[in-house]
Amino acid sequence: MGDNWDGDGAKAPSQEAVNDALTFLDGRPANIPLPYPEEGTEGDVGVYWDNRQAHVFAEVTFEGDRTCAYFAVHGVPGAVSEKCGSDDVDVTAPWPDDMLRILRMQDPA
Amino acid sequence: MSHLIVMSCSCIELETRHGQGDCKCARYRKEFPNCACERESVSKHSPGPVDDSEVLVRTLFRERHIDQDGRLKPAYFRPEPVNRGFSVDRVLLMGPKPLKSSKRTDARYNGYLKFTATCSGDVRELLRDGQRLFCIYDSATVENKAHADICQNVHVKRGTDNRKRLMMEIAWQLRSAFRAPQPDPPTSLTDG
Repeated sequence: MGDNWDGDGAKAPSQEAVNDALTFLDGRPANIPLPYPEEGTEGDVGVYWDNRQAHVFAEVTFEGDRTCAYFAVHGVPGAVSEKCGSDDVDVTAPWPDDMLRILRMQDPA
Repeated sequence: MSHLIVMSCSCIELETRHGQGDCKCARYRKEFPNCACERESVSKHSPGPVDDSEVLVRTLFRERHIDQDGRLKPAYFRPEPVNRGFSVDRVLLMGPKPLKSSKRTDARYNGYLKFTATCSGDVRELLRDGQRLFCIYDSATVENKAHADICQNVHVKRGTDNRKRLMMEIAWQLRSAFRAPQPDPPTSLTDG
């Protein structure tokens, strides 16, 4: 994907951001489903989960500086039961417990 | 050296000066906070402010914005509401067929077109700590009297703790207000 991939002047995803996303995904626990990929307009990339039946959403973004930012929520706007998130998380660190707790709420139990 | 910021006398003057600029929404936040410019037209080409019941349609020119489940990717909702405005069209002012035809002459058109819609009232109901998250301005142009912009009303300053996480949460809320993309501009949201 090159520059202007959106027809509106977006920058192509940076190799550093893609590498950080791949490093982060290497730490994915086996019981967490694969996320969807996404691209930002400034060379950043992200991954996300969106299970509307379970009202679970989580997103992690990467700008290529060896850190990521995440946001996870259980609920819908106006009726959120739990949410969490943080910036500047090391992409090599274990996945945040609070995000994992929300992601596991979509498990059929 | 200090920078002199020239304040606009009115909403319509702000839109005339900065309507095509990349920091339009920042201007609205600073000069007319808390959606003050929703109460009047911001463009002399507009038939009037956007009503809560209006269906707003956003045109998609690239398939890459849509995931394999047919939903818009979250990142799609992040940059524009903060800076230049998230452009939408007031579909019933133009009609769905003329709207679709007009998008085929857009510079971004490369053969792909889809449309996602929301109700302006749904966007206006999105809150954070009691404050409106988004404002909707009737930023009509000479060429498009149905044009409107969704601008983020909440300012998240650079340097704010967990700024990126906050911006993700705000974009998640806006994304939740939009329906799944479809081939033609919807004129009602009764189909969910």
